[in-house]
Amino acid sequence: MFSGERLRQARELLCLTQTDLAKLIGRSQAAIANIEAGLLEPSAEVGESIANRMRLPLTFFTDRPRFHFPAESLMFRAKASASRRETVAACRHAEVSLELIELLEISVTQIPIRLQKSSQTPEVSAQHVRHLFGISGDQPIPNLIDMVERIGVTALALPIDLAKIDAFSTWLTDASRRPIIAVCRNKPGDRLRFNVAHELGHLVLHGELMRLRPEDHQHADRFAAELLMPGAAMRKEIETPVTLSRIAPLKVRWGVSIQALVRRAYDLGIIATRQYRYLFEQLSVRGWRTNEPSNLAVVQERPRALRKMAEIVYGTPIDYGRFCSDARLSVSYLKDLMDCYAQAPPLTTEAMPSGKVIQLRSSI
Amino acid sequence: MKLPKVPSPEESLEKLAPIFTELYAGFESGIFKAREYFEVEHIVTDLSVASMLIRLHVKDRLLKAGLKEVKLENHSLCGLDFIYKDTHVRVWKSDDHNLPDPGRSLARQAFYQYNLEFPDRVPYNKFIILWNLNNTGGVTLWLECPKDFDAETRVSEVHWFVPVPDPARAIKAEPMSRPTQDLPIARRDSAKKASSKG
Repeated sequence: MFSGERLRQARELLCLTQTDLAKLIGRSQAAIANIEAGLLEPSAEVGESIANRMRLPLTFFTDRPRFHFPAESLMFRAKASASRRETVAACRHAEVSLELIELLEISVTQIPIRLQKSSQTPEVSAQHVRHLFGISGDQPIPNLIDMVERIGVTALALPIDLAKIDAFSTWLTDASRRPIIAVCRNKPGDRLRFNVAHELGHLVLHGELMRLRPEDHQHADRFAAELLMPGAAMRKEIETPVTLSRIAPLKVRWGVSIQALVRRAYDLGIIATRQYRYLFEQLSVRGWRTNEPSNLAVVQERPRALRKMAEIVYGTPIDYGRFCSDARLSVSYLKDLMDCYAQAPPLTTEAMPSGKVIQLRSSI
Repeated sequence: MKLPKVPSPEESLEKLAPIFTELYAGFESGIFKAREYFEVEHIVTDLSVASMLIRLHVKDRLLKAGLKEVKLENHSLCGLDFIYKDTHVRVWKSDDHNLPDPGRSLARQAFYQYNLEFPDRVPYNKFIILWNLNNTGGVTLWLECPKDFDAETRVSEVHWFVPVPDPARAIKAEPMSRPTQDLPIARRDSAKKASSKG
């Protein structure tokens, strides 16, 4: 039995149109549409051809997808110009990852879900989450994704480079009621942290909403700002006069962009509108709005849970032969996916100091 | 008297790095304040007034940073003068990295000559920092080690000059801490039993 829904999922995963796929396998677009709609069972030869062209095992197409994310019901952090095709591709990758988790969870334990929805203000809600993390209000969050996973959020790394889509989140509506945050790969470390914090804000503040309003994104931003740059701490650490060279070391310490710090200083009333505009003008002319100085780069965090589950079940290093057979995915897809996840932490008992700025100079 | 060794640009930049951090902050703040002044007062920007305002903010920044003996030059109100550790620094505005003509000031002419002005009590260095507004609305700084000035030809020489890097680009950061313990995920007991039976 060849699943048309699975074909559609695979096609959308690869960002192909029906016409693209039809050309790839030398069939008509109508034939693809009929297969996807379940009106036409492809011949063994066509099935093989589809699987080969899509670089997926034929067994992938033998049952229906177990998850379906309607793109419009998710909380997306993306540019307005992001195409629907990109949005859908991100959803399909997340669906495949969730199926992997479902497969692995037969054999491994789950982290209890401790994240709760909140009807408080974004700021108070963020403070509660910091408390849940066990981080005091005056300390940076050293590894946000790790902490998010430890409170039971399923963090998915999508093996796809999408320039206009950063992340999305949702609470699953199945029995697991699992909160999910999916992040696209290859985003700068500081941006990635803000994306995760923003999505966490949506999960906490807007869990019940099916469609987000513009103000909901503002609330998620306020949540993310308070989570990563607590107001009380920023009022102490952002010293006046606020200049780019004085604010730059805070980027390293707090793991956020210089732009986010300038914005935070403005939102907290540390700088006035005129200075905020001037600082952003300076960021622009220095080219820092698109590329902040590389010496200040924040390390890219990666989720860990999915890879750890695979290591428990399929060994370290992962036996991809068995993993692929059970998951009904190709080796290349699974390896690509696992590369988006973190390796086990090194065997050390000493934590590095968080976000420490090396003083190259003595003080005056 | 034994003449002091001329320090290298690298060691001088390193030694004066804390000063540059404050100088940059002072200039950035001063440029904003000068701009704000003309905007708020609806006055056409006057570069000499703007430069003076900028200097005042730089001086203020240096004083607040704990530097002693910072003063504006009295005679022409166009420079800053301060001592940092064993180093005498003077800060002037210049269109480029070339030392401006010292004019009739004998003190300034003397400062251009590295081998003059050696107090006996401490090793002694002197530097000139030149600044100018750049085309991005920021400031460019040069550190110069003066060598000589010939009053007859009015030619000044430096041992060397280097642009002063933006302190934000000089920060070397350690990564934030990474997790030291793996996530609390384990094999299910039922799966363990099944695999041991298998």
